[in-house]
Amino acid sequence: MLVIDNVTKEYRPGVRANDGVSLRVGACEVFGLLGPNGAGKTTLVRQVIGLARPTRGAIRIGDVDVMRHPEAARAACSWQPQTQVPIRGLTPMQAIALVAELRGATTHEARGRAAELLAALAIEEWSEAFGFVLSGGVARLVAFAMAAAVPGDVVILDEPTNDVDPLRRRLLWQQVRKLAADGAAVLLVTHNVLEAERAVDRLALMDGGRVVAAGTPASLKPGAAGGFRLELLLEPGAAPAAVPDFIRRPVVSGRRLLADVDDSHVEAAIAWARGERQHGRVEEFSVGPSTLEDVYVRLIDQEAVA
Amino acid sequence: MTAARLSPTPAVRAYRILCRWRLLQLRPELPSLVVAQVLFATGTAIGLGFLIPDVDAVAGAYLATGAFLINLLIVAIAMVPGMMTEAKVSGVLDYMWTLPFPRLVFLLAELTIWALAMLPGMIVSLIVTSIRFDFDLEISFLVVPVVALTLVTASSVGAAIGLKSPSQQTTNLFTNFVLIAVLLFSPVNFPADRLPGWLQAVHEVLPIAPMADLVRGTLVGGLDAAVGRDLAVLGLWCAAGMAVTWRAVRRTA
Repeated sequence: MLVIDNVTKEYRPGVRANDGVSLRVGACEVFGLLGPNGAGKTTLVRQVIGLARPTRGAIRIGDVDVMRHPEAARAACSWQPQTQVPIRGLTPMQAIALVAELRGATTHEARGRAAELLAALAIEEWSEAFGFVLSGGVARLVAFAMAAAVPGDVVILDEPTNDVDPLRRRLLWQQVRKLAADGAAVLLVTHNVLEAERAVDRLALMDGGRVVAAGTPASLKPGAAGGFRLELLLEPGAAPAAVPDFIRRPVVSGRRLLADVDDSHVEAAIAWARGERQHGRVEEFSVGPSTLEDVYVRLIDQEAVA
Repeated sequence: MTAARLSPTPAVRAYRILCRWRLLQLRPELPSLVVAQVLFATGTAIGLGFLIPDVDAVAGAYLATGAFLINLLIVAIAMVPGMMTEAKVSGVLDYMWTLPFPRLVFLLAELTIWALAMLPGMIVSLIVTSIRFDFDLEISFLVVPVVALTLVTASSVGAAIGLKSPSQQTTNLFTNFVLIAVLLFSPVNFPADRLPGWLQAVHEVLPIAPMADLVRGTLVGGLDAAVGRDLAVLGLWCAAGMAVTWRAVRRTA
């Protein structure tokens, strides 16, 4: 269990990288950390793995205080960074096995575990290729395998799916779920809201160094169950139309207008949107179940306005 | 595999794995690095021999032991800072710091690998130049601690520079400057009394002259009365280099 309690990092008075962040990630749970660039996600991750010290607040992994016992915390934590990992000159097999050995596996176990992960992620054909010839996506999968080879109680994955092709992404998500099923608390940092919605148990949305929303993906969506979203693509240069009351919380982002619609008003909303299109103010529109992305856009937009 | 472990990897085991990690990583480059070292060191000594018309045994001993030391310094002052800056800037050091072993073990493993890169070139160049300039080696048993101290001092100063430097460009600029200073403006290949007085005074406090004196003294004989002072100056630089490196390595933002 990872407990982050009221953590604040203040570089100088008034300049905060994060501000009173509190989160709990339980064992067997995949917890998503979402937010735009500069939201404070990476700072929080660096605090958990001991690369940065909070100015205030506490971080615990199980009973271990991360600030007081950084070495024990490192042993309990495995991390896939967003930046490169040192695999240049190594083969994926060697890189994964070396980290596994450093985290306590025997040489034999480490190679076995590396082979298992290379197969599970369908990158066996590169198992003996040098790190510098790997594509970005394969290198990221290797970095994931280095974190997953001998996972700690807490596994932190920073943008694990960047550059990875759609088929291997699926395999990657299976392995992420498996880490949680085997008992790890998985903290997943991502920009990819749609993927996160399917992959995480709970999530927190960060902006400006603070947690602006937290809960299960379903609980964060407007109207919880049964809500719909209306999306309009406005004609270039067209002013946003006057929106009827039953189209709630409209947000304009560029040419896109996003809004919530209750189950009972879907037909009326379609009729209104069709009318707008006939009047040449809307190029196209769609109605579908609310997604986490809608919540994300709305909350981050509100923050930007505030 | 589940491993809810809370204990760091034992230091000796971590050291062995890290040495293996670095050796595997450098495997494609290590042979050419060693060959380049040998060629550079012997080439410098023999080339300087052309520059000086009549190289007697004394001048030859200077050139040969100078080449031996310069070989070490090229790795420690030119390559080590570059590698450390790259590791810092690219995030590799951050990654290593999150693995469960003491950070000192990482530095020891790095030092071992650097020594492996230096020693073959140093030994071969010494043999080749002693034959070329026709002088007798008079190797003292003190050569082992002297070379070890020189290696640790130069490497820790090099690592400190690399870790404190903000960018690879700054590091390159600095190491180029240091190499020219060592090759042409330090009493490594020639006696100190050929330098102007002010530069001799500067070398009283820099570690290069003590390194050269000690290395020469333990390889061709003639350790003089200044040996205690040389060791003291070198010891201070060693302590300073290690302190700066250790602080940079321990630091948490």
